[in-house]
Amino acid sequence: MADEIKNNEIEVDEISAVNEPGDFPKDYMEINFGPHHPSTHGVFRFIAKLDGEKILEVEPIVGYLHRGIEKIAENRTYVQFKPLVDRLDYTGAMNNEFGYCIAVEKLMELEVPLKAQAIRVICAELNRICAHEVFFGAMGLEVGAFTPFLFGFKDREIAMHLMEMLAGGRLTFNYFTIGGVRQDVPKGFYAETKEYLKKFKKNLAEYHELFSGNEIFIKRTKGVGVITREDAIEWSMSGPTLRGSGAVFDIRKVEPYSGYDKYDWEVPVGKNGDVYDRYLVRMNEMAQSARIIEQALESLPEGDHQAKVARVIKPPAGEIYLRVEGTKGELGFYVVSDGTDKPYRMKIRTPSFNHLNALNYVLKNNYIADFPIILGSFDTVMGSVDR
Amino acid sequence: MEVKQYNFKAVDNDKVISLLQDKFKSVGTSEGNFSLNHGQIYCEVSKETIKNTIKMLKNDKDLKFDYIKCITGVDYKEYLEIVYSLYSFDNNYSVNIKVRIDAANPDVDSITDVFWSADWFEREIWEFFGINFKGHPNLKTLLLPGDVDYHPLLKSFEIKWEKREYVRPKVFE
Repeated sequence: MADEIKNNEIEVDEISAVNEPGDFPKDYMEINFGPHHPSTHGVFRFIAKLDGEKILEVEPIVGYLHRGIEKIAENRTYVQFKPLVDRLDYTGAMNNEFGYCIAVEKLMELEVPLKAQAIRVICAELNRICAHEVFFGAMGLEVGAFTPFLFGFKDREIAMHLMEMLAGGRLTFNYFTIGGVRQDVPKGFYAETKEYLKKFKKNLAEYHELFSGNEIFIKRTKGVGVITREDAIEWSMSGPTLRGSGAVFDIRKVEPYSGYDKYDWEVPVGKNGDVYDRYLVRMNEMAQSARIIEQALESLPEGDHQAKVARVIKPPAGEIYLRVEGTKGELGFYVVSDGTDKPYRMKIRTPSFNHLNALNYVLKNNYIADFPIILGSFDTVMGSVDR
Repeated sequence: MEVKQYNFKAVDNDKVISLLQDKFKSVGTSEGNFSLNHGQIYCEVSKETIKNTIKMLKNDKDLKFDYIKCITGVDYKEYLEIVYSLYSFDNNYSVNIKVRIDAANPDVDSITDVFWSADWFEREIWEFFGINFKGHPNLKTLLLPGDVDYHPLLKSFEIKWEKREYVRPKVFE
């Protein structure tokens, strides 16, 4: 017994002799986060090396939702593959279909009727509002506010009902076809959409009043997770994440598709590149989407909802990389055709994939408590990362 | 940080091709075969010069290809191919650089020290096509489980419809 006490004393002496006062031996902690954690927005896992509460290093681990969609594409015809595109970014399924259909149409050099183009724009922007409303709700949960979640989802429900009128589905629509849209809009759709937009504008002002100006929210998010514009470009970030860092860049403006250049709207941008700016960009984008839908409804052309397309779709041999502005950023389809009815290669470039790639860089030297809001500000959807 | 407005003007593809040809000559990388496909520029360069080519495209003052749209692999059975889709924010230029890779001995220089975002793109190609990226710091599986010994996106890999029998765990009996 006496010996043990002696040994302890010696150890204590050694430690105090080695270290200066205040210079404690560093002890790092490795923690595992996820994959089944609600704040990871799906099945995402990472291993973080912590110094106290500060993050030193993060290793993201993805692939829990990998379904091999790119390989399946090589074994399906162009039409058979289309429903699977919905399952990539399931909050913005219309935008996924948009990208896929436009890529195949451009490969076939197919002209889409003007009416179908306008309906597509209405659908895509309605879906963008839905997706950003999920973001708004989740962002509220991230900082501990439950009301935005209820408000956002209540509003989203009406928009989903509108799309249900068109397609019959609420989340994965399978509404676009190669050459147009599956069916013409039903009676009462335009009137209900107009009514919805009126309500939505009122609600959006209420959201800003309720949440955007909230002092606790601003203190949690301002100056957190800052990404400069140059770094965002270097990391291949796109969409609201890039715009939050001060780049006035939108694929709908730069490479306009489906008649986006006909409408009058602005690209919302942030100045500081922090979480709050990315949040504001998304909120302002919803207002712009409403603006686009209003204009599209006013100037709706007459005509067919679908181009005349052969029953078996066989694009000529060739390749194309086509990108559209998805709900989270640049959504690209690299399609290689060998002249048969099945794609030879289908690469899907999704925005969330690149945002997670940069996660180690963004999270470094932030606190672990800020992790949910930083990841939430990217609005990642694991379905589109893992494919 | 100030807000930056980018150039949204349409680009004349022939002008970009002639500009690229000049730059390729001046740097001494392989000249490349240019082709236009659906209004997009494709350019084939040799495997040895790919890293220098991409470094030049990024750092050149007139081109400034500062953004990777996509990097992907394609299996053409006799050879593999990697397609680098680059974009220039300042000039609104796009180019797709192609590299042919021998299917028997697939390797190519990594560009992770040129572009940060190339990291996961290359890891994905490595696990799905088996192309070895020389100089990549962290080459391990990304989307597939860690113990796989196949490369699913190769054409030689077939999807098999196996019937798997469910073995009921003894705990529930």
